[in-house]
Amino acid sequence: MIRRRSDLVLSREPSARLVPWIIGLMTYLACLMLAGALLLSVLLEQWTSDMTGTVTVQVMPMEGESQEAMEDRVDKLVRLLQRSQGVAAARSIPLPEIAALLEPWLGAGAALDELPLPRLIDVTFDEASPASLEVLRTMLSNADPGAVLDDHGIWQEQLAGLIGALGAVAGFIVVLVAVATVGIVIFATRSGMAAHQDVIEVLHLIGARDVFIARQFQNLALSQGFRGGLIGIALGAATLWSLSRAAAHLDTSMLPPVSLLAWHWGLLAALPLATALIANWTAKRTVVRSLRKLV
Amino acid sequence: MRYGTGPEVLREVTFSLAPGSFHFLTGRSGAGKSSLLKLMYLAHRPSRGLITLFDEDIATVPRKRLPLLRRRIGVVFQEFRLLNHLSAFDNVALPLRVAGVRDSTVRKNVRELLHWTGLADHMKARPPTLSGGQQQRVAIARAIIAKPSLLLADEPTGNVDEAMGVRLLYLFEELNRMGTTVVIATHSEALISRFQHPVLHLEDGVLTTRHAAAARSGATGEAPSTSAAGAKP
Repeated sequence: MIRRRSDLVLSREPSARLVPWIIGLMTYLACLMLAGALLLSVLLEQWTSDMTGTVTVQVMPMEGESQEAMEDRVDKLVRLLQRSQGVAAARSIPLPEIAALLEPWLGAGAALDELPLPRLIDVTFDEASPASLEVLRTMLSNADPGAVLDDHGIWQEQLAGLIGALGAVAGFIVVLVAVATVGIVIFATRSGMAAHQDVIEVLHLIGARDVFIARQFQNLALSQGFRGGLIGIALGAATLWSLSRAAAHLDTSMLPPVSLLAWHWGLLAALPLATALIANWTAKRTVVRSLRKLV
Repeated sequence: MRYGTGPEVLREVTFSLAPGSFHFLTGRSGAGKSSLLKLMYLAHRPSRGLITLFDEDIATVPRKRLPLLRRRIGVVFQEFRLLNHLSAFDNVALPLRVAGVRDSTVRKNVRELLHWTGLADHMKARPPTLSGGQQQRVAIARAIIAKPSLLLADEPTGNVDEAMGVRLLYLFEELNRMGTTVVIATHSEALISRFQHPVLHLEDGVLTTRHAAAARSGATGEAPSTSAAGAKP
């Protein structure tokens, strides 16, 4: 019969069976938090890369100005922008598109002709040598006092701030979960030591080093941590899968399609490894510290 | 030597054991026999006094080195202290495994010793299924498997009939002939008079030495190898 030498010494306690499940629930929480944080980072990345390299110029209507006069001003600005250094393309957004953008607020078929709507010019920068926002801003206000440059900066900053805060909360919860796992393992190891007091004493007296005795508990903790981690990511994977199914049924015009990258999945899959190592390390520290009280 | 803030269990105990000597340790229950043995197998440190073991001062030996010293001491505990969830074989193998001896060597030595102690048919038995005498032999086998320099036995003949007790004593004498220093705590005057070894007698925490007629070595002078517990009031 092949047994690991260090499996010899401890008998299994029934209460030890509960530990993997508690660690499993902890890992489940950590898995969801981590997945959430990673998704947010992907989302932020996507939005930022979509928006950098573009700016929008708003052209405000003047008092009593006719459609045609406004159209002229916009055309002039578009031509000016197209000639500018570092601008790859400039395009005035036609009225029907603006109407479509406003539809959710104004309803279909609103009399847009009668409303003094600002016009929008979509500007795409030359990626190799993008135009300076400051230069562009001065140039535009010199050419037309009604032209305003919007670089999405404020909106982007607020969004990044929000996503950063959410990510920090998720990270904090992951840390709390790790701390709680350490606590569980300490508790389990201590009760295991109490249950095996006689065995520990005999081992100690026949010349076992503290690390030898610790190893007996570490092996148990390692397997409990790993099994707990597996339970956790199994539950986590099931949850993420059903969430993604639910998201697929949603109208996706509101949300850009977001999915985790390969290394994100790798990180989540490595969670049982992390819980196993945390449990192993914690058990060792707990046993060695407590054995130091012996002669 | 005292426990907590209680009275001193051992007070005037000065002796040294020559390597290869054989001593009985006697005294009424509660006289401090077990406490003295515990000091000798390093389960306790003395509250005052000097213990030199294998030429090392126990008070100054770093804790890290104590396991190595303990591996040179075989102990037969009064209540055996076998691990009930392990087989007789694994119980006897424990000191070797703890010391990191190779598995093939462990198997060979343990099998040999179990044959020698008449437990060959019970290798896989767990201690609770063995008789008192068999458990005792497992305990003794565990104490001597690593060929200790010092063997301490606390009432090793307490649970067996006299004939068995005598056989165990012969076993200890055999070990002693191979160089192991032996100290046996016992109540049995019959064994003491039969085997004629010097006697360490404890009374109220004070130790006196009684030389048997045929004593081979006394307890004198500076200890070459094993010496224990000096504490003057």
